[in-house]
Amino acid sequence: MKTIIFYWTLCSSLLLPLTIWGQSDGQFQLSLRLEYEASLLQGFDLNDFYRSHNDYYASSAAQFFDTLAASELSHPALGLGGRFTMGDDFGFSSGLFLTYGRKSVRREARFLTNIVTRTDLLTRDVNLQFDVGFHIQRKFFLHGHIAGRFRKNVFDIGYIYPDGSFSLGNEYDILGVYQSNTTTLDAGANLAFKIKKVYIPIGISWPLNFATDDGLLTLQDFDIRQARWAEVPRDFRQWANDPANLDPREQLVRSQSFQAIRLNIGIEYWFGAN
Amino acid sequence: MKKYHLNILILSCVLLALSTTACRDKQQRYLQRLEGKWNLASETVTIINPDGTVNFESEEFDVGELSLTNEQGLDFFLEYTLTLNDGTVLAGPLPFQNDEQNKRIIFYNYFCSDPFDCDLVATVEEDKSSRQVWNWYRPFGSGSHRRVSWVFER
Repeated sequence: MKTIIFYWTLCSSLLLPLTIWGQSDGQFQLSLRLEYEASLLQGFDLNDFYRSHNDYYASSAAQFFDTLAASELSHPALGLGGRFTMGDDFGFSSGLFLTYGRKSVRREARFLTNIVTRTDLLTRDVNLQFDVGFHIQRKFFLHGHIAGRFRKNVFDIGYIYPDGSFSLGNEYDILGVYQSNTTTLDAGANLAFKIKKVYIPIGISWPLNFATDDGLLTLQDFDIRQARWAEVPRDFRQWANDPANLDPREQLVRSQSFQAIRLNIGIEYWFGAN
Repeated sequence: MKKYHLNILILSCVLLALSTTACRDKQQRYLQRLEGKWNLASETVTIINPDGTVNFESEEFDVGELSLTNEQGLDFFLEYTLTLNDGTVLAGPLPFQNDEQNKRIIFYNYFCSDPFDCDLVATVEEDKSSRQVWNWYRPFGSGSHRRVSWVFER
């Protein structure tokens, strides 16, 4: 299904410039968009880290890490773009817009020595989406879309010492600021209706395995000169006890595990619309 | 000019402005701001005990000078030299960096010259154009930790 949507949108997008310049009744409007993105994570490598960390320190911890829920990176987003429609009763409709949203998630585990391991995951999403479809009387819209999705993940692992001071230093190997980019080409569809200048879309998008890194990219620390690995391990026990035999293909947190299916509901204001 | 041509022009200008802003690198900007000479205004060493109590080990003022230079014109590195007031060079000249998120400072080969486990990574506590506070920690035995707090001013 998503492959059909993808090819339909791609073909339409190639034909669109010709149709735009060939028509004289087209209307172009700038739009400001506010949306909520309910995203469903497709991978749980980070939870492997949390679980293996909990397991490794089972006898010396007073409080364990909670894992990450699939929908925990959902967030509101803000964007702007442009929409083009042709025809009055029925016609082509397209749109190109950019949205930005972010979400931070914190987890803590406490040792019996009163040192707290704190992790902060900050996810920033930039989506560039192209809609192509049709409208009925410029009130009801059905679009297929393709979207470039650029997700940046920053994962801090720090220690809070018993006096409250916080360290991201290198006194312990696991501490660090780890980063990765998860870039996907998404395909999906959206339905919308418009009341005067307000446009309300509801859409769904799936990440395509197009030009994927195949799990090679990982959450990596900027400071790579460490005795163990500069990446966040999925298997903390292996990382701690036998780092030399850690399998980098399977036992590190992969960027692609941050891919998500997205369900969006938004509201757009069209400047200059009838 | 049709109205929608004007709209397209406005949208293009906004997107261009956004992309230009996004391309300015935070790490580079921060490094450029740090370049120059800093007075090590104070060094405070404390021991943090497992019960949360803190023992002051030492506190010194006007300790020395940190020189951060970029004579090679590199984009993402400076060269640091840490000199005490009596002229003793504590470390340097050696490579110096902040990380991409500007949360940490990395003094390469501060402790030794090996490629691994010789760097000093400090946490940025305060970041102002004329004042920097960087803390670094080391295990001190029996669950205690030693914290060194450096305050640089200029």
